[in-house]
Amino acid sequence: MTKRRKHIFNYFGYIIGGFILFNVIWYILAAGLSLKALPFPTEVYGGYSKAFENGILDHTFASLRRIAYSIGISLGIALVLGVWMGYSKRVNSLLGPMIYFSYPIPKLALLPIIMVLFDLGETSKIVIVILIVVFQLIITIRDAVKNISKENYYVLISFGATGLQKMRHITLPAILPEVFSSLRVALGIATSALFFIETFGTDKGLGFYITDSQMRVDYVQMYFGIIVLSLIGFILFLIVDLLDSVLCKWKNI
Amino acid sequence: MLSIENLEVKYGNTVALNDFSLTIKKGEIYSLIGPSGCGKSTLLKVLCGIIRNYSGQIAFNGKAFTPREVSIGYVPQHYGLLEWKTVKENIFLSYKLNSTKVLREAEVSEIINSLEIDDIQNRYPSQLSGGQKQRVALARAFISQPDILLMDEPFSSLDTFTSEASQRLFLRLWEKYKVTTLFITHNIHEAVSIGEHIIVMSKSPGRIIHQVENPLFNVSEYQEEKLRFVASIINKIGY
Repeated sequence: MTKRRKHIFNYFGYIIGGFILFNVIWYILAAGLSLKALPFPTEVYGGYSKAFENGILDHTFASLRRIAYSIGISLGIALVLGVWMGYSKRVNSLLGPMIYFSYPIPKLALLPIIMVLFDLGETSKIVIVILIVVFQLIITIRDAVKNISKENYYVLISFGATGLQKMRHITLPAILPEVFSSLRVALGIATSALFFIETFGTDKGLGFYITDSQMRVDYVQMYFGIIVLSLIGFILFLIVDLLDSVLCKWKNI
Repeated sequence: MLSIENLEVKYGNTVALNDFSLTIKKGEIYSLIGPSGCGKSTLLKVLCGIIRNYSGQIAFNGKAFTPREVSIGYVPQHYGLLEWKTVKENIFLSYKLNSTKVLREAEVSEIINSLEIDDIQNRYPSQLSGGQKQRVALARAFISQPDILLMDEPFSSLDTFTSEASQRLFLRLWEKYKVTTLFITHNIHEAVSIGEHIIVMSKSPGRIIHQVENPLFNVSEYQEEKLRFVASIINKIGY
């Protein structure tokens, strides 16, 4: 077995091991508590056919779409503002305090005004997730840009590089590892925020599915929804990890 | 030929360089020595185009000097290798940025071979020793075919043995290409081993207090004489 294949084999071995352990703990808890509100994992996985009848796939895609839009737009905004603030002291001293001030505002409290400003449907949901995750992305990217050693730029300047070349050969590759790690945090927050946001003004999405099942006292379907939501988060994390290991090879040796 | 006249650089209210004039002839090596903080690095930063706020005249071949038009090879103190690029990508950085001056492939591989970095081309800088990093930085500078090579204490963070070996590799390469070089150091031994001309700077704000031809430049049997010459420079400096 080559070293690389062995590495991949180990990687998936740990994932499967973790999954089994998770279910064993769940099983023990369910057996010990024997509550209706905590069914056995076997019962939950057995609920798949009903879940498909309920259109769980549509709900999943609705949630995925919201995550993709909000994370994509947040990352775009954060890259522009973060790099700009990292480059320019003036922009940083102008925007920095504003960001520090708005970061702690509980965004969910703004839900009514956002629903009035945008609409009850998709836009307001995406906007609220953006408001929740964008600030930490901006701050991490700004700090990453500030931490790049000046000497890196000196060599490019001596070769007569343009601003765009400095961006492409230094700034962007240098901040990429930090972008990925703040993206992981943003994904976790976005996925869990979604649960709450999807309980308003929509009948699509895993958040809706989970609360709806809870209202009907269908705990099996409620947990099925939770498992799918976790799975989405898990797969998204794996994708980020994969991109990280391919694009930041230099950091992972 | 590069001529610097009455160069003055200030950082806020502190004068880093004052009334600094120097002429550098084509195809020769100049060693510039002086104590820490005397403005040596400031001078290099001006020539690299990093510091643009200065007064005085700098001319290259009779025309006003602009770092964009004169091609510069810069070897910074910590080598300035880009961590996210492999050794190979680092070496060919100048071609990525501006592909007008491209060396023939045979010459490129000769430079790479003579610096003994042929077999580490696919590694990343974090996997290299100090000496290897330093040689990669030298390769990058030579491959860009600079009009002027600027070196900022490139041997100072190496141990004595590696430093000696690197200096020899550098001189061998320099012999072949005769690149106009300004070499900065605070180590008098290094200055004498590398420089054809030796320039001694004063304490801050930096000014030239002594300039001398190096009679031992490129002489191989000189150990004792070299030491005597070093001692004579130390006497002149008097700090």
